[in-house]
Amino acid sequence: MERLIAFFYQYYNLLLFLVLEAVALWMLVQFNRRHSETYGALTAAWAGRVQEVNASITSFLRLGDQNELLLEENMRLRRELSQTRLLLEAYRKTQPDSSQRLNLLPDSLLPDDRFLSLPCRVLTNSVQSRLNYIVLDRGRVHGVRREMGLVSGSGVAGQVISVADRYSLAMSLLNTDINISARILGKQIIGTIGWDGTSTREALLRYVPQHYDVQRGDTVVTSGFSSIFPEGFLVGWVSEVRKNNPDGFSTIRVRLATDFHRLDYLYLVRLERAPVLDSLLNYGRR
Amino acid sequence: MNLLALPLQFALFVLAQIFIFQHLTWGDFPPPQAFLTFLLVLPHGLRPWLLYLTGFGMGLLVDVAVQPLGAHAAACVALMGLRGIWIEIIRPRAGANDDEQINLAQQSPRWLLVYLAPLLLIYTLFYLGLVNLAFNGRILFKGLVGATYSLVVCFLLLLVFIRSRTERR
Repeated sequence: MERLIAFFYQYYNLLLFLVLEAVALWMLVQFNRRHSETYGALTAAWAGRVQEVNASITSFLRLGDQNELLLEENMRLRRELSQTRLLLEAYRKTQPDSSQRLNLLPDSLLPDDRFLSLPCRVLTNSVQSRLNYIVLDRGRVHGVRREMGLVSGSGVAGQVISVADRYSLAMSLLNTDINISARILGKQIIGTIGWDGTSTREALLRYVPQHYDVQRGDTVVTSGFSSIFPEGFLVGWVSEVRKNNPDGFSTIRVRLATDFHRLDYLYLVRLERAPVLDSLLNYGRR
Repeated sequence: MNLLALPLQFALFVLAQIFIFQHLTWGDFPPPQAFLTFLLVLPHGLRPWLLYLTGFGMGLLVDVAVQPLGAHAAACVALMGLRGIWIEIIRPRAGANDDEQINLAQQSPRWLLVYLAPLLLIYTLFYLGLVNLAFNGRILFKGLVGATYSLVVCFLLLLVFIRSRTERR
């Protein structure tokens, strides 16, 4: 308080000068219509600019929330698409004559396996090791189960191996222990996608016999021959094919669709028929 | 200096400005701001707060008669702030006394011209800027002419009234 008084005492001349100027300018604006209008227009323009900057900052700070909302919406749309596919499939079965008309529909509406999806955020993601893992912000309470598939907006990213209440651990596709059933799109050539630990941009498609015609640029997608991934999720594109291996299989390098250096939001996916498949597989192993 | 005469001079300058000088217009150029003579020749030794209040009060009284309200008041307070700084810059160092009244009897006409001209120019430009809410070549020209007009009138007032009064003492 003493400092405040000392400040006012020291600068009272300057403060009085500023106060009198302010009062005079206030009167100028308050009691003169033209000045009032100009001041109003000026303040409105400045307020508009300030609001614009403020809105930009707020929008930037809320990007995370907006991403969450977009993911929720994306998930809802995927479910609707899946339901539409089922309806179309049911329609096709009850109306055999409609097949020709249904073939005119876009690919996205053609019948497919129904799957569940859940948006999640990447908390940690490693790419430096041969055994890379991804920690996700969704866990058991959110409906995450072991062996759910993990996909990005571009393609396959990994699979869940461990689930806690609110978090889960997934094995990245960049993990030398991972094996995902995959096929060459349009050729029905089946193989297994795995990682050899050399490049974060490429994986290997294994167990494809040498006599199969695999070309550079062919698209590799999930085969759907497991309870983890539904069929048709993009894995990548064939970048190199070598056929002189003594084991009889081609060495096929696949350029991955997912950029593992920029993972942020992902989807957890699981076939709705997965529990039935799991129980059948367990029965077969016994 | 007789401080009791100041309130009377104050009133006289305000009334003269409103009823006489405000009507001595020339085209659309501003009238001579003769009342500033009073403010500019106040003793340099006066406290700044008293100068600001005097400038504000005088400007406000002129504003009441000459719209827009607040323009002269704001310009006068600014003038009072600049006045002290400008005097410190140009005042003769040898034998300077804070209680000295600045007038022709004590300062040379050349010094007074150097003292008055920039302050009147700044005042006129500041005032015109506030009134027109703009600053362009046209306003600058009007300001230059208006300030010259005010300078001539203020100079004459100093010569005719204040110098003669000082000589009578």
